[in-house]
Amino acid sequence: MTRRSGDGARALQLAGLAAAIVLAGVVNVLAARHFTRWDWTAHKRWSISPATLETLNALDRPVEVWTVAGRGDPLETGLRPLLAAYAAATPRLGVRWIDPDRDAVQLVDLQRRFGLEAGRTEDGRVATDAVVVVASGDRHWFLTHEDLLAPSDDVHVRPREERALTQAIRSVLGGDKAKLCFTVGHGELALESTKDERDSLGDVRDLLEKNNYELASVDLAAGGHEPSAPLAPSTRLAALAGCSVVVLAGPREPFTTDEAERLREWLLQGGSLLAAVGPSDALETGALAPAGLDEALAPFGIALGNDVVHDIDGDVAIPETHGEGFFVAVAPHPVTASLVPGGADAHPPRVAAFFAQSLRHVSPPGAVASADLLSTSAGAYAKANIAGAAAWTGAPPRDPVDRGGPFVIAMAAERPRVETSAPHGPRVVVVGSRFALAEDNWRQPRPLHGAAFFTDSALSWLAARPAVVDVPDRAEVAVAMRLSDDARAEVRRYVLVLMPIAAVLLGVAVWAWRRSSENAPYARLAGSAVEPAEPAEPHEPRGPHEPQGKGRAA
Amino acid sequence: MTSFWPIYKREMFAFFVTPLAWVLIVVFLFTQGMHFYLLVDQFAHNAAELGGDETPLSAFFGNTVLLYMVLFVLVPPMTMRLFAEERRSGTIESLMTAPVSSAAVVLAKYAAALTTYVAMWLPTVLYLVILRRADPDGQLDWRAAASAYLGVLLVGAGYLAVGLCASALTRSQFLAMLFTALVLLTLFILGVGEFVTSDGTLLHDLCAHVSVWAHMNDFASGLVDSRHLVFYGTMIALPLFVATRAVDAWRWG
Repeated sequence: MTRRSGDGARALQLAGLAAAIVLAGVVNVLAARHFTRWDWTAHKRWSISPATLETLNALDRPVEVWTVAGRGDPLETGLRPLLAAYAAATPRLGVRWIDPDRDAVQLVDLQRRFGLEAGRTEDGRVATDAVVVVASGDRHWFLTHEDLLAPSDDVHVRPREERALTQAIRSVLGGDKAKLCFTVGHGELALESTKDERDSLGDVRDLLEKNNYELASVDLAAGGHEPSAPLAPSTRLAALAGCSVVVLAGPREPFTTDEAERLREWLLQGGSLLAAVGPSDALETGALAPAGLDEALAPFGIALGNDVVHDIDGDVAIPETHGEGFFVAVAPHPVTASLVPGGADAHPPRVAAFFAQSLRHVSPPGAVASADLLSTSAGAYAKANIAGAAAWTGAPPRDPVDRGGPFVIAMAAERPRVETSAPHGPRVVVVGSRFALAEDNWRQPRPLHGAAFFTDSALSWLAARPAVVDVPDRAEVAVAMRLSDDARAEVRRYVLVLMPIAAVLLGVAVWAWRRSSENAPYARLAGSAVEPAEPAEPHEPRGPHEPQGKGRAA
Repeated sequence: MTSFWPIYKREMFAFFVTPLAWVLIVVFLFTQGMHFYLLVDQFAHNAAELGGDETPLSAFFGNTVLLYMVLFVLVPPMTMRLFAEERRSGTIESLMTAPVSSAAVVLAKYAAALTTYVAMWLPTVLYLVILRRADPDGQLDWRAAASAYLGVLLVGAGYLAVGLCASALTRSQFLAMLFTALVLLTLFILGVGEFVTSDGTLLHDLCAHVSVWAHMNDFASGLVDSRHLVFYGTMIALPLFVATRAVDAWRWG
């Protein structure tokens, strides 16, 4: 071979290598742009349903999904593949991941745009109140951890990411948020900040906004504080136009007859009400003033007791509250589904009540039956007159006229639908304590978080929209194991002892076999078909090919 | 390709009669056993507190650095000798002068290394059986397990191809091992770049494309992605092509 032809061959080889590298790069670029994912899981965990595909294919404008979860975040495992499937279905959906521990600037921008709250967890990670924000134009929708993943028991969780994401996308495209209208003018907890923190909803406002409620203040006596709200057919109810739920957040002063009548009218036309109404101020006689809501609540079979309930039973009384603070029993109802022992949650948090009045069933003509939600122990008693309360140093004495428990302190009722197209009929939840909406409830640790869960659940029930039923439920996923100590010991024995020992024994057996047949003609096994035409001279020790060499030597 | 099987059998035999092979297998099984047991212990105690939906299976194959640590330790010693030792000792001459194509030699040696790799992982299927036995009421998705093992196979196949290529490019086993470890480490670090680069940038996309961590997370979750298949397909084919050209180069000068 001449030098020139040798150089040419070498150049050709190099060109071939370069071409192969370029080809590999091109194939990977093409594969990255046009890819398919196959879901091999038994329950098609990562496949999106036809309903979601239909929603994505129908997108007529860009939708952005901001996910605030870093690598290693437990939620990221489930969200990333699912969002990849969403993004693969339509080019109009943009998915952005923000690692709150790393992308500080992006996080601040997201906080500014959507009002996210961020804080640090016990292990030092940055966490936000909403983990996903779905946005399109000026509309946005928050998803929290609970929206995406629901614990079924101590071992299983039910993934709900697809249903939550699809609902969020549909909501930002067309649906309005449920509007909670907080009444003003009766000493209620204010939506806006006040000088005395105890007079405002405080952080509850943010929490409700993260739950995708639109919040507004309404004055039942006037025309309302929302000039942009469309006028209702009846100007009497103009203030309540557009409201999904009216919230009475702990009024201290009574409602006028006209206000109660407006509220009643609105409710009977299909509205819903959350009333957190504790005992009002005392009259000169010491009797508690009526809240003026009897007219509005009567069609729902509920009346306020106008008293103060005390429960000094040692099992339920909260220390140092003189019987005014106590834990209550929870009755089964859609509102209390997550709070009933033995229900959806194996260890539900307890619900505490403070300074509560009792509720009672009434049955005027046309009223519906109401359901009990929360009740005191049989040892509770209710004082209708608090004259001389200033002299009480502990739990007030029980007088013969004081009624005995158990008392119901929260009720719910639903009337028949006003229109067949309505998702539900007029609904009412009444709690006999203004503290149902106090922000302290949301600050309690989970075992004592029941009052906050109760209020969240009540609002969710009252503002309920038709569920996204076309996106099927996901199968439960086992995220833990129930293993006895014996079972764990068995696993340890097998994987750490028996299996490595088996490998050692097998190795020894092979070594013994090799020793016993050292003089056997290995060459037959070790590649006679590739024997060279001129056998090469044996070389020095051959490492891994030693048996072949020895065989030849033999 | 009739010469493929004799070379393949010789390679297999050569590997399994060396103490190094059994030491590697025992260390591998012990390490994986420890990894598996720690996960089982964690999931039996407090997995529900983590708040996600990761399963024991996905945790064993994905979201863990232990898998790659094992591969870093395992692959370079397995592949370093394939060509380098034979070239150093001169025994390659007998092979090269035989009527065998270079591709057959490369493929046979590669297939033997891959079979050895599969044989090392095969006992870990028993882990799933043991887990099923320990927690009969628990969920075990065998289809997701198949996907996870496909991922393990592809990652290993890609790494072994790189190792074989390195062995074909040098006479020194040490250099072959070093070169393999460096390439694998570079790939791993590039993959880690997915976590430190901003989402949506070209660099991030590149890092995500080569990220073995992300690939194994998908496979471990039961997701088979055509991008990953193509990536490992090229990661196997390209080094084998280079190795074949290298063998041709020594063979024909």
